[in-house]
Amino acid sequence: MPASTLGRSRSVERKLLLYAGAYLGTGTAILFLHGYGKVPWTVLAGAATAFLSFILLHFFWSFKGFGGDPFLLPLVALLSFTSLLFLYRLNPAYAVRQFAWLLVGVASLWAVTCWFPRYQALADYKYLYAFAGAVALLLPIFCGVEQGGARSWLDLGLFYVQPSEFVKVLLVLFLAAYLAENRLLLSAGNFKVLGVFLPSPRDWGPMLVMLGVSLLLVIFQKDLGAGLIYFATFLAMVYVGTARAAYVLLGALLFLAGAAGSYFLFDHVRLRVQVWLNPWALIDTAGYQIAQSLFALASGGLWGTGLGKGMPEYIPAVHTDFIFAAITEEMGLGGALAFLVVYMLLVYRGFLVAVSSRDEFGSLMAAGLSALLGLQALIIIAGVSKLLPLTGIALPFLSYGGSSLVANFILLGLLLNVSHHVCFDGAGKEAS
Amino acid sequence: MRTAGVITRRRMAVLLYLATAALLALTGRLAWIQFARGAELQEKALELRTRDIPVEAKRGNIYDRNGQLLVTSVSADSLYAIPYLVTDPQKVAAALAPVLEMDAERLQKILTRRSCFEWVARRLPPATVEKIKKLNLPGLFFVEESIRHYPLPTLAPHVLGFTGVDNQGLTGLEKVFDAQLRGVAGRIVVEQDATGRDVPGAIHRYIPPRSGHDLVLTLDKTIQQFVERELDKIVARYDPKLAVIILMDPRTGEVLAMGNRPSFDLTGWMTAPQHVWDRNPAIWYNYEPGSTFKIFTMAAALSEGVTRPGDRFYDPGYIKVADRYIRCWADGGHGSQTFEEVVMNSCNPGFVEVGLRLGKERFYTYIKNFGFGSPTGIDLPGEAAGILIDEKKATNLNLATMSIGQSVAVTPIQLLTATCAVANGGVLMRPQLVKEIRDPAGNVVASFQPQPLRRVLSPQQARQVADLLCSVVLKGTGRNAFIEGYRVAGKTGTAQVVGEGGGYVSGKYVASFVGFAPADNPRVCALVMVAEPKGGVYYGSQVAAPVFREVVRDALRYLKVPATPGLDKPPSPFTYEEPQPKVRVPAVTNYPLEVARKVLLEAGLGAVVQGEGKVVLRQTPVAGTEVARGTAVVLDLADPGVLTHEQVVTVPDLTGLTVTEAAEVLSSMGLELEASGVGQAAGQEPAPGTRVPRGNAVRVYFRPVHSPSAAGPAREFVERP
Repeated sequence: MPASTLGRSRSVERKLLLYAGAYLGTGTAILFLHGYGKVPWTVLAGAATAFLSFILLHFFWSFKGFGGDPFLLPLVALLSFTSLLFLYRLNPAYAVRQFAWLLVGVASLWAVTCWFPRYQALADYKYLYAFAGAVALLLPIFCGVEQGGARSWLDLGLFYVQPSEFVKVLLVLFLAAYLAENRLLLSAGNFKVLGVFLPSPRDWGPMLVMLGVSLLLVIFQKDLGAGLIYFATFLAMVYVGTARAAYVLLGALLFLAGAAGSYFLFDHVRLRVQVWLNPWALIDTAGYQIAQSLFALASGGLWGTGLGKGMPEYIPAVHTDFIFAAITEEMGLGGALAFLVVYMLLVYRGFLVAVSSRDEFGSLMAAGLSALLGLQALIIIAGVSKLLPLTGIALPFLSYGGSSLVANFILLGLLLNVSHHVCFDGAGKEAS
Repeated sequence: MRTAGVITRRRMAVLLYLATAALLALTGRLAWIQFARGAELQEKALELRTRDIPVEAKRGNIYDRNGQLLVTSVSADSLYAIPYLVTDPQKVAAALAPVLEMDAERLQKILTRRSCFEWVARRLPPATVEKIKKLNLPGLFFVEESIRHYPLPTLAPHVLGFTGVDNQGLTGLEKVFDAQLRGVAGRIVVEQDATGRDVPGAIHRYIPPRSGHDLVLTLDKTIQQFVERELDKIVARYDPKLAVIILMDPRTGEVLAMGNRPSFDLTGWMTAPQHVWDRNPAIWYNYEPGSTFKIFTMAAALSEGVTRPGDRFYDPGYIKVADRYIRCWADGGHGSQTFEEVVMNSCNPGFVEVGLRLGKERFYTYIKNFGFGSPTGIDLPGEAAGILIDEKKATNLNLATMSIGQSVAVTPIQLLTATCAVANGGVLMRPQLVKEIRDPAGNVVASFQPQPLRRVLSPQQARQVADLLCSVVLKGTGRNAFIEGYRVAGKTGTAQVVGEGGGYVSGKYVASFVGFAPADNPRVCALVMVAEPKGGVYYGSQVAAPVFREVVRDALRYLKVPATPGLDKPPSPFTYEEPQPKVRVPAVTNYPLEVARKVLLEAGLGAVVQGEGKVVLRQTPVAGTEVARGTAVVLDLADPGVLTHEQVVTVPDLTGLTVTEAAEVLSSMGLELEASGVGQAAGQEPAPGTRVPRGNAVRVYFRPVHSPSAAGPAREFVERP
């Protein structure tokens, strides 16, 4: 049974990848005809290579009998191809670098699925993750470089690395391991605070310390986006692990208190909120970016201006945090909705993996990784459309940025590993 | 995993619901932005992406009544940059710097600003523009702006006014008609481009400005030139504090010319003292009109029938009103005379008598009707209203003195406007400066008609007054204003200047003449006013009347008013032989030439200079000699080289000088002033003529001035022709 399911699911994957390839080919043709760039043949070669890397991975998985979810790779391929198309359209130089990172990402995915398929072993090293995460966050404070107001990059000569992107994954691994071990203790609770039973600080401790340290560190780096992601992911995993809504409520209150505190403590936070409330008052300075983003979103209409026909260059940092605004301008509300649905499907497939996994670590990890993926997309899109105050976060697989891309591919690999085991342990059929 | 799985599944479902809710929220938000606020946001975006730079319109021209150009605007190109189109700012700045005579670094800063528009230099001379155009630099553009140009920059500057740096009217007609002259500014619209890439369909548009309207004035350039010429002569001859000449057409109230001294150059107004350009004495200067005001006393008296031209008056040389004696200007009085002779002689007691007969109410009704005490409403900024004693508070003495033009202050334009009413048959007109406003194509946008305000006299009464005024010119004090071939009506006036304390200042007069011609059908009504002439001659009949004759004669001939041959001529030019007081020649030895001239002029003496230099070495006649007023003193000038090396100087006579003047004289000779007391110098140590080493101090005793008000009666009511 696994074999036949496997065979069928891999063929679904192949078919979907071919659709994604056709999509990439169409986009490339549009840009080619539009006359972007100077060496169009290398562009075609690049597009072909990007597609080939995905299809090769697929064939490798088929050959090895890998049982991972067949929908995840095509969805990610769709996002990655869109990223390449839009970056090329915005500035070919970005596309070239992103192309290189995409190959590194796909290779990482291959490595994770090939070398660490037994993810259960990962649960044993949770304190190593905590330690590694703290060090990774500490490094930029001492020897990092500042970009776009956040001091969260390390200069490695050839390229910059943003450790906080990788720490996200480490945080999920640590929380999953810790919660799996202490789940029952934590969900019971043995002393009461404000009418809520809480577990003893000894049981909480390590987890809160890890979270606190990471939050403090990102505050030092002025990386509000990462802090928000960490906290939201933490709350989601605590909920999944303990089923105690009260914890989530308490956490949310803590978060609001922290947000209010930082509003009064930090000028840059206050400025963000002011811009969110009324960007027009600060149109020449801090409000310029969000205003331009809104202009781009508004000019898209239902079907967009068409690839290459809009003017998203007005938005500062359009290739990183604001790529969604560019996509909406040129692909319209229809295109924007399509990508929202793609992210929704990724989260949905991830949750299915979580539900189907037979061990607690795998289940929590899958839930955490999916939540992490969904939250990143949600927070930055909400920021770009001024639904929430803006915090700088990369849109997974779409934004320009190697660290984010590679970290998200590793995330994908871990998720696929869990789903591989679901498949082979026969715990449940996918998509029930 | 079964039980755990169920629990987890429920939790995952909750999370999935939350995710779905978030998805819907985002979808809603995007749809809201695009459909509910799309239009508004796109409009905002366009507004933000484009920048408007105003380009000022070409200011309208100003023409005289015959279409002669008085003020125009000439084009001057201004240079601006669109920084993102400047490909190599450093090179461009280096090329531009020597042409514009600007700092290359500063230029480069301008060219590299993160903006889409920067002015580089405004209103450049054509040669510079040509040079820059030849350089053919990218990202630099020209736009046409304008500078005010004056073909005759010293012609009627107070009336025309001038403009400021942004071509806005600051004074005169430029200020009053700024809105009409200014036009509508154009725009340069530039689309911002954050990246420097050409925006698809990028806008860089020039919306041309609409030129301002032109003014056509009532002024006549030629007549104004006559006026300026005569004013220059007055300044050369009398160096007065102020001089005003105004000509009007009495039939319409149109101002044909209006000139003032001191004056300024419209192109260089910034270098002139502010008090010279910020006020127009013709409409602002309040002065006691003296005898010229008798025209209105006479008009009221004849209209009200309190006297007739043939009525007899007796002038013993004075008249007593309340407890004061008002003297006639002629010693011993005019004796028995008809009213016509009273007018011809400008006899003070006669007019006081007539004024008293009229009574306060009737007198005030007439002078208010003639426009005194309120602005005329001329189209110029800063008009004064004149000063009338409050009717309720006016005493009989006030009435008496007002009848002869004292204790009342008028502006030149008021006096002339009122005289126009006599000239034109009794209707007071609003003085008018602007005839028409035309658009740049020459179409009339607005035209201003003569504006009668009210009837003041009946035509018969006006004629009667005009006839009497003709007698003044033909047989009386106004003979110097007679113009061959025309019947001229007019009246002289010589009033003492009222000092700050209220008393008259001795030796300071306002000489004036107002009149019109031809008397039967007046075409020109003119006022000549000279305030504080120097040189000993100060009578209206001698200072102002000849000027009136010159300027009105030229105007009448220019206007081609036919002359009537065979008219009566006055027997001889009017010269009033005042018992000439002998003047004591002041000591001016060792005075700097300027000071010496001033001292002599104030003493009523002339100066003839011999030799070269700056300081008076010798004077002839010597100080203290009694000579006739008007005699010229010969001044020998020292060789300055000799004097500066000389270590011993002669102490000058400082008698009569103020502290400031004394200090000025002494310091110019290298002597120190040690002053004691206040007022005028009354004594000094060492005595004049003493030889002292340079650097010594001269002790000078000052005593308060014996002003007439302090010493004798409060006011010495002496009216002169």
